[in-house]
Amino acid sequence: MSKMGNRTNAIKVIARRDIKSTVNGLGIYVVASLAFLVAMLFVRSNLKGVTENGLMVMANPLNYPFFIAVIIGATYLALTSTMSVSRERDQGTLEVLFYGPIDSVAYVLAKFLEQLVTFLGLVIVYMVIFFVISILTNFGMDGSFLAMAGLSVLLAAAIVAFGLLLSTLCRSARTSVILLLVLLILFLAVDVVAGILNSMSAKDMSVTLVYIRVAVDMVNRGLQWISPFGYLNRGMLAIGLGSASLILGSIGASLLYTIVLLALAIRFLERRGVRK
Amino acid sequence: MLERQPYAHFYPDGFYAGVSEILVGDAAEKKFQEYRDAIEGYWQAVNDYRQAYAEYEQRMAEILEEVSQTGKTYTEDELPKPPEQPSPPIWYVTEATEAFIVNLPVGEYVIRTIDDQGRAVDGTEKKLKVFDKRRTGVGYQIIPESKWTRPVQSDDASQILYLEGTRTMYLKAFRESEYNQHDYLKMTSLEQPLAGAGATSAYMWVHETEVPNDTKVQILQGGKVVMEAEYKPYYVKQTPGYALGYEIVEFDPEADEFAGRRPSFEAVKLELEPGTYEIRAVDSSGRVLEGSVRDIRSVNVVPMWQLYVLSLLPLLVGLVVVVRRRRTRVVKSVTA
Repeated sequence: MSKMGNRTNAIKVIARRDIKSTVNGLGIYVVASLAFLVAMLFVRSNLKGVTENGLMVMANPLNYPFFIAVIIGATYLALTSTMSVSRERDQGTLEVLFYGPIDSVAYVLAKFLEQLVTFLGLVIVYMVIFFVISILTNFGMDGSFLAMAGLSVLLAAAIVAFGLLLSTLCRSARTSVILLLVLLILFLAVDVVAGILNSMSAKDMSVTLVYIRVAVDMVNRGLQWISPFGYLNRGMLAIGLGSASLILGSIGASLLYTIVLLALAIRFLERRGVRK
Repeated sequence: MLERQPYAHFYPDGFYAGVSEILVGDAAEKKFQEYRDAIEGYWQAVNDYRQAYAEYEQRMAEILEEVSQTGKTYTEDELPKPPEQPSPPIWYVTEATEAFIVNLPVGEYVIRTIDDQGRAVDGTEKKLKVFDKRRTGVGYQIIPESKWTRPVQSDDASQILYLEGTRTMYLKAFRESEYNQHDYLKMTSLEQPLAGAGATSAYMWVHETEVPNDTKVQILQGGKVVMEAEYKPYYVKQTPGYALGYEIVEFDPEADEFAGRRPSFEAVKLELEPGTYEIRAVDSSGRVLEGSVRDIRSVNVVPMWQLYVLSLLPLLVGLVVVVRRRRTRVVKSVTA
């Protein structure tokens, strides 16, 4: 068998083993339920807004709850992949694997593929449940929801690749997990705060708020190419504007971002070695 | 190289209506003169009215005296009619002044003033950014009957109007454009150094002009037009006994109860039963205005426990998987 064939086979074997392990564990189900419970709080808030005011204008009331559910799911998968790489290194499993026909490329890609396939399954469950919510509440589910579901796969791919990169960079599992959580919360916080400030009327803003807005805008612009959420925003904006070139550009940029992170993860794994 | 030209702002619907046109050259001076003539004509009409009103009052006093002395009665037709009060011109024109009129394509430029020798005048060099709208459309101002002082806006065609139960609302449609918030606020509030700061990546819809009054709003259900509503004037009547404290009624200029009053607003009235609808604005020729289509949906008020139970479904599936897995393991170990 050629080197490529061996590698493909190794990727399939590791990914299948890990997917089986994830599906048979309780973690992914707990996270899916938790994601839905948090998302339901936002659905409830939207529903309450309409019933209290009698009339409310909203763009896509299910998109944001779905986005929250995606973030929780993708972060969980990134955390598990980060922990599994660190754990396998600490327990010596990684070293044993590398004595066989497995190299850094096969290992990182297998871990990535496993999480991506799991996320695809999760997104399908999300879509089914959100479809039921849409029927129950009559909240609209338009093309932008499907587009968001599609883009969420790219977002999850980027977050998982980001987690894998951190796991190959950091010395301990604890450091990589903390770093991943801190960075994701930072990226998300900047994204959410920038969104809130941008939606506020700039005419009546206090001077303090204007300076905060300037600072957040600068940070946000800096993070746009580092944060996985920046890529999702670009994709959503492109879909909103209906521009095919922008949509393709944002998908291309997101894929390139993921490929670069995976390439860096492979490079760092090779440099650090597989021994603890 | 630009030379100074006379210009004036022309406000066809009045200074506070927001819509204005720029008149250049002779047209500016001609229009301003026309405005001055109209104002002078108005004051002349006011003088004539005062004189006519004084004569009317005197004649009425004479009639009253005659009635009290002789007891002779007058029919309504025999009584003199009061003179009609003249209305001032609504439109407004600023005085023509001279300025450099810049009309450039989108881009970033540097402008400066030069003297008659062709040398740049110190301190006159400024940056000039010409920007364009990103999108155009039709925005709606939606006045709910229950909160008429708190209208809601629907600027983007992707926005859906959600309702609870049967609702009555009044719609006003506007032509609108979407601009970069930073650029637009810098342009409109140039005197404020912080205007638009930090908003380089934000966009905002700006309502430009209200659509003409002959525009109609069509309500569609299942792709078919089920109702067509037109602009009408409405009056908000204070009613102490009424639960809302007011009542919105159609304004009839001929009716005695509205004598000397003006309509509170002009809008399209929609009364919608629970359901899913689509609305769109159409012009006098029946053409749908681009970007005017919106969805309207009535929400179903579901008990929250149903949504929370739905959230726990994955956990239930997970428990089944784990229990089955454990049972399989036990069976395998017993078999071994």
